[in-house]
Amino acid sequence: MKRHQATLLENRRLGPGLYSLQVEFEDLGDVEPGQFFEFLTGARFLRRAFSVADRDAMRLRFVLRVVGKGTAWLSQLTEGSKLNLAGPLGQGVAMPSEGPVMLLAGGIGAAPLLYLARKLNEQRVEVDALLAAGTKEELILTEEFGSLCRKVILATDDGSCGQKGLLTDILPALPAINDIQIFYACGPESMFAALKRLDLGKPLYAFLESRMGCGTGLCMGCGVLGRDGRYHRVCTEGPVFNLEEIEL
Amino acid sequence: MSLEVFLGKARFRNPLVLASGTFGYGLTHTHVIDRMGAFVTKGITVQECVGNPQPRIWDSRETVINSVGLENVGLKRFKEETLPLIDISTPLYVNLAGVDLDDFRILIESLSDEEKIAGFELNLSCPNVKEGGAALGQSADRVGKVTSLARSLTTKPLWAKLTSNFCDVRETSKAAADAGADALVLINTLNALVIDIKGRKPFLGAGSGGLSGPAIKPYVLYIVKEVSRQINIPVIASGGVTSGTDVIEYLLAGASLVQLGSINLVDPEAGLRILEELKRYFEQEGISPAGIIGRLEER
Repeated sequence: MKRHQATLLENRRLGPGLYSLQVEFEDLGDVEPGQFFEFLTGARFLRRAFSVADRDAMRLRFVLRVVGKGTAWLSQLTEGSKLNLAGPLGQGVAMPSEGPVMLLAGGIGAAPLLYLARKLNEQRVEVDALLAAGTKEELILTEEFGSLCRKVILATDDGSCGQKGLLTDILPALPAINDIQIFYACGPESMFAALKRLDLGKPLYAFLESRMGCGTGLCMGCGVLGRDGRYHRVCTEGPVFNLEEIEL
Repeated sequence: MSLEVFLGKARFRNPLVLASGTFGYGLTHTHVIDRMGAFVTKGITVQECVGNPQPRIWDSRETVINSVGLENVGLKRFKEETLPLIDISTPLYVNLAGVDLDDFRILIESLSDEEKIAGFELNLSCPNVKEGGAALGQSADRVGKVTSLARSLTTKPLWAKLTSNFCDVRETSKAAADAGADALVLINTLNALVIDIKGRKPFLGAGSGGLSGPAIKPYVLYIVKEVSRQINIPVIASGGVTSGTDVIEYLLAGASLVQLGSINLVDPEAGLRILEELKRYFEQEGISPAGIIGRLEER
């Protein structure tokens, strides 16, 4: 596990409880979409895991949602703060050989998919994105996806922006869906469960979130139940899994 | 300056031990394991165990509460698939988690002849399983029976890992020592409950969990001091160590070896840092770890 002393360059509020952190590293190798970093906080004993949302040279972007004291502590950091980070951790996602692919984001699930969109764009794979959230204020990174994707569809539960309804209500009716070769999704567990029921007939890779202990495969804290009846460590065997392989 | 410690005939290159459940099976991070005094595997049960439902982890600033629930590959896969892959230069202790005497008999009979295994840690204390574990460890009589049985089945060192949950750990310690344990491991995690007030239910998937981390260190220091003065076999401390200073405190209190647990989750290389801190201390003081064990003075 590589540890870093990194510098917070920017901490920007994106929406209610949502923050974008731009972090500068002194030394950073390859980082694949799906991989994550663990942040030490002054408020909690264990590190907090965040997936990479974007990269520009030695700068990584992370997006966090405040859910407890650890994330609250991070959200209050000021620019110039030093951060104790570990990573990159986890396995990168399997990249598609051909497109088009579609990214399915529920709320803050947009974060790791943005970095995937950038990599797909670099490889000239056609990519569409369906970004959904509860309200307009919670719909994040839409401009960034707009610059990288062939088509971006927006949706909110309350209809305050884009189409009204849940991501899984809107998805089956999209005309573009028949051409899609692979789906990549990140969002709440209820979204994954609904996607499983939709049975899109194409591979769907799920970017999972879990409460992690170590992030390095040692403690078995973060397991997700697999179809084989065993727990699989989200930190080292994931965090991206074929949706068919996991139980929700 | 040598940091070596002997427990009977068993030599440890330094007093640091990687605690069960916080370092997997010893298949990764071997550069850390190979610098420690000993390594203890994840608890092994007779049958493969899937563990408890999520969520399994909660933490505060100075605690971790886990309810992993002994998720492990089980005896057969451990022996046939995992053990052959373990390649470490540090004494390998296997944590055995039985629910009754039969389980311990099966586990020890199966593993006792394995040359790779230096010794066994009898898990008489896991709070995350419904039967056995802590229930066994809460009774001096049962601790004595399991330890005696284990003693009759192996000549390898036996460590009895005990609990202080709902029992008098001085009595279970005496029972383990009288039955032939080579050392006591004090202590496993404390019973703990986290409540989700919105749902009006326990937060952890298993309902409750085991508390560890720096917050429990003063409590465990006290137990180590009391028990090590009453029982004539070595004590291995386990409770909230995050620094070299913590290790020295445990040695002074009476521990011969000191386990690192929760801190491995924050940084799997914490053991290397703590080892450097210990080296500096013992070099500066011009003494060895063995020279300070139990040397806590009276106020």
